[in-house]
Amino acid sequence: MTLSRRMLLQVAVAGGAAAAVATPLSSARAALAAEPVRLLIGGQTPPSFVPGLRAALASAGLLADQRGGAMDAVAWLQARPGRRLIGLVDSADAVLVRELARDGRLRWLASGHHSQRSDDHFHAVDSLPASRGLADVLAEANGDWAPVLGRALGQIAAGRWQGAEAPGRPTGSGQGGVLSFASFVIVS
Amino acid sequence: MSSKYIALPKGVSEQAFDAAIKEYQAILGEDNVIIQEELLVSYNKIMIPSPDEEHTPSAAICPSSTEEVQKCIAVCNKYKVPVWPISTGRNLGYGSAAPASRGQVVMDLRRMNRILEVDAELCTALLEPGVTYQQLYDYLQDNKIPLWLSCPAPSAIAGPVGNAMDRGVGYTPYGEHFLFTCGMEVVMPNGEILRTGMGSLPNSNTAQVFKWGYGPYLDGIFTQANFGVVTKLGFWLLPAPPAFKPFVIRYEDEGDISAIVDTLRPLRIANIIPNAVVIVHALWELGSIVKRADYFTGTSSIPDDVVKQMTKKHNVGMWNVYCGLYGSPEQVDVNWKIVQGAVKASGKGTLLTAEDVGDDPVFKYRADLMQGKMNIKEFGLYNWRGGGGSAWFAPVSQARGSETHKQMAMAKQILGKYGLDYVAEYIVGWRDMHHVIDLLYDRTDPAEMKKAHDCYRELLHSFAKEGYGVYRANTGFMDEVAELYGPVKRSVNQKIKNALDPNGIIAPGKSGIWNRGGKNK
Repeated sequence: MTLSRRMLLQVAVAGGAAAAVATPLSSARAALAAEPVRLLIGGQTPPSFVPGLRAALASAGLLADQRGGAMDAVAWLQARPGRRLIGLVDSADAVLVRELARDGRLRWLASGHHSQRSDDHFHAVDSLPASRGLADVLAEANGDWAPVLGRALGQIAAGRWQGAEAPGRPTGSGQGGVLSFASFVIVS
Repeated sequence: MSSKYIALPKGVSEQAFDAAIKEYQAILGEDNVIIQEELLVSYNKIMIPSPDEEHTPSAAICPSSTEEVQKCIAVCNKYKVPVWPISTGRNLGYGSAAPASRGQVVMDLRRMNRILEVDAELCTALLEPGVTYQQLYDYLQDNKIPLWLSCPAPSAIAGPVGNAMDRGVGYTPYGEHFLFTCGMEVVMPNGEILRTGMGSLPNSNTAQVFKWGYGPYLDGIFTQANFGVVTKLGFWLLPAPPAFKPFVIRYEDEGDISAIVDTLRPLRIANIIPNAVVIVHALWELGSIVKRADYFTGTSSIPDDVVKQMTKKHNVGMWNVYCGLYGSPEQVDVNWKIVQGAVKASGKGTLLTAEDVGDDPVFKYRADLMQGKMNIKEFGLYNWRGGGGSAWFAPVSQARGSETHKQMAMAKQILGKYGLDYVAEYIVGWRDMHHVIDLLYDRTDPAEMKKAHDCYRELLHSFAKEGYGVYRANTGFMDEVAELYGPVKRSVNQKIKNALDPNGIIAPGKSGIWNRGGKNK
């Protein structure tokens, strides 16, 4: 592991606590900005997920091109240290990503499953150091949870996640039917 | 968190584990000893309806050679640290890479991924555990070796060694995978290396061609077991046949299942049809390409009339039977006439060939599987209900039509009680039949996960009362399944475990096998 990666991860893993340490944080953010971020979404990913994500990442250089699917995305991630993959995909792609990312080098900053039923939503979020508090934030979201998740994953990927602070409650009703997704932020 | 580890092995202090980790690092290098929570996510439990925390690994170690496995096993014995060996760890629906119990160290053998030998004349291969099906397929293609492998579905990212060791099945004439293995290298719990069959004889070149060697045949005790770490496995590969004719028989009524089995079993036993007869229910057939919510949003099992509508819309049968004919063109022609005659005489079913179905992607998917061409399309089943939950319940029965009605009725009644769908297929292996049911559920909903757990348990015990045992079980239910197979078998397994692995360091709990005192440690 290189020094810059270690610093990046220190910030990402420690989240808000690390934000108090000015120099490493700024260095880590610079390192983050140097490597691109790729987004993996599916055909049914709620459109409202993406704007919040883009806003949270700001200048971190989100890649717009998602062609190639889950296998291609993980291969891209593994090709170079410091890359980040953010996803909100269906359960099939989620399994693929999870299995392919088992290489001893990829770090999971966030991971969760999300279901939308009528006007209610359910979230099972892995408890990971870099995304502590994400489950609480999603639980407090009103009907349209996708922008909340997008903003949160963007902040997590950018090393700016403040787990204790809820990013606000969006308004909006549920999407009806049953939709199911898995989300993640993975760093190489 | 009070410990720097996300979990500790049972009965091992943090101080002792620190020492073990340092020794693993000295053997494997720091990069191949994984203790950070963010890196261990992919080793955590997914899919099966069992609490995540019961399967949390303490670490993962990644040896690259038999010698490194031996050295790691020595460390395990020294500190009484249990290891859970995986090859690629993609035993999806049965527990994936996560250990059977909390705190075990995953021994990930993915770096041992060498194809050691492929003999094109004798049609054999010798593989390390980390080799994937796709890797072996590509090797055969790249080197223009006219041999076919047999793979499960979906399998591109899974591996032959792990699948055969778990007694998985595939779709070619070599689809009973363990049956077509020949010769193992095993690191025993005391660090010794056992080569089974002819492999124990110095200078023998017959380890991959003659299974039995001399004395007791030992290979079987290392499958679905924890008596050693298999580091090499020999396989027999199928010579590419000059002719291959896949076909599907579609049946409109769910009640046709009995006639299907009784019509095709004689052809299977006589090897007219040399591969497993796969009888796919409409929900399995369609479940990987459509979503439940597009047809039904209720919380009960999807009603039969809705399934019927789906079959009409997508032009599939309620049951869809896939098999193939293999051999010379002349052999295939003769056998095709026999198949046509049997189906016609049964008075049921529509027999279709590749030419009849055109570019039907589902047919192509099945035809590919029957040629050992792997893919990942069946991952689509996880989208049927969504939410990432899956557990495979797979009881075995005799290949008789009368068994199918009884099993299907029991399964649908129990699944209905919990609001889960009958996503199933029957696989007529030879004289036996696997009834594979994928319990698909939404694991984001704790209530639904509990339903899936309780449903699996009820299926398990209800079927066992009727004499139907499962041929594999997920890591959350291994003890219960072992109990169902009776106290004598369990006791014999434990005696072998105690004799070979007194410290209980290799995969404690695998298939319900623990060393003495190990379970309650």
